[in-house]
Amino acid sequence: MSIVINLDVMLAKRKMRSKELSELIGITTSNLSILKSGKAKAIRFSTLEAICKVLNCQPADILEYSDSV
Amino acid sequence: MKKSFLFKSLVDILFYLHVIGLFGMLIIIPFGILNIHQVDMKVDDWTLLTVVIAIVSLTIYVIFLRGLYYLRKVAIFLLLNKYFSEQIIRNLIKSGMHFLCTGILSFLLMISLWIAKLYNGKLELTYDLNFMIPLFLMIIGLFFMIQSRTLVLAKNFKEENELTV
Repeated sequence: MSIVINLDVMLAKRKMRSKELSELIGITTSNLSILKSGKAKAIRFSTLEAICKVLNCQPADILEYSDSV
Repeated sequence: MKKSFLFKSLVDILFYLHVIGLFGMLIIIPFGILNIHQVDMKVDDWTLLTVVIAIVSLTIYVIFLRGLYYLRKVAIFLLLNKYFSEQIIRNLIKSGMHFLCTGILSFLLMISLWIAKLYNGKLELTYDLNFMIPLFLMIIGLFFMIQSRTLVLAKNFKEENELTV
């Protein structure tokens, strides 16, 4: 897929662990892992909203379109 | 679960009855013990037409049996609650194709026999179950094929839903 998930980068910037984020946004660690690995086929607006709220960032900081992928 | 079990049991019974029937036919027919009745046409002496009817009928029987064999496989996976498995999709389409072939061949055989009778100067129009069975088999075969396609779509939707975070 040409959409790249930069959640790892944002987590590193905020010095936050995946487990902590999953607890704060209310999704399972396995689902967060699916999202991080780029295996996810879709993301709910509610999940995106929660991630942006917790990480204090914009959707564009997490999602990126790349033609080369 | 109960319905799946009942379905599997019924398919098994039908399958084994047909297997017994096939062995019976293979043993009995070559000795000429059995008279073949096809669309009220009694075939006592083994003419070319008789042989052709016997071979085509046997082929249809075997195709139907194979369709049942694939349906048995479907029933096994239904019993295991694997509704969207690749095996169910593959076996359902195979079963459908076999039932459709059985229906078409039976129908063609009936039409051929009707024409053969017409050739002998005998016009007969019958409305009975013999005519309905091939039609029903064709419908069931097509339905299984459509159902298989539907399962493919459902499986894709399920995967997509599972991978939505």
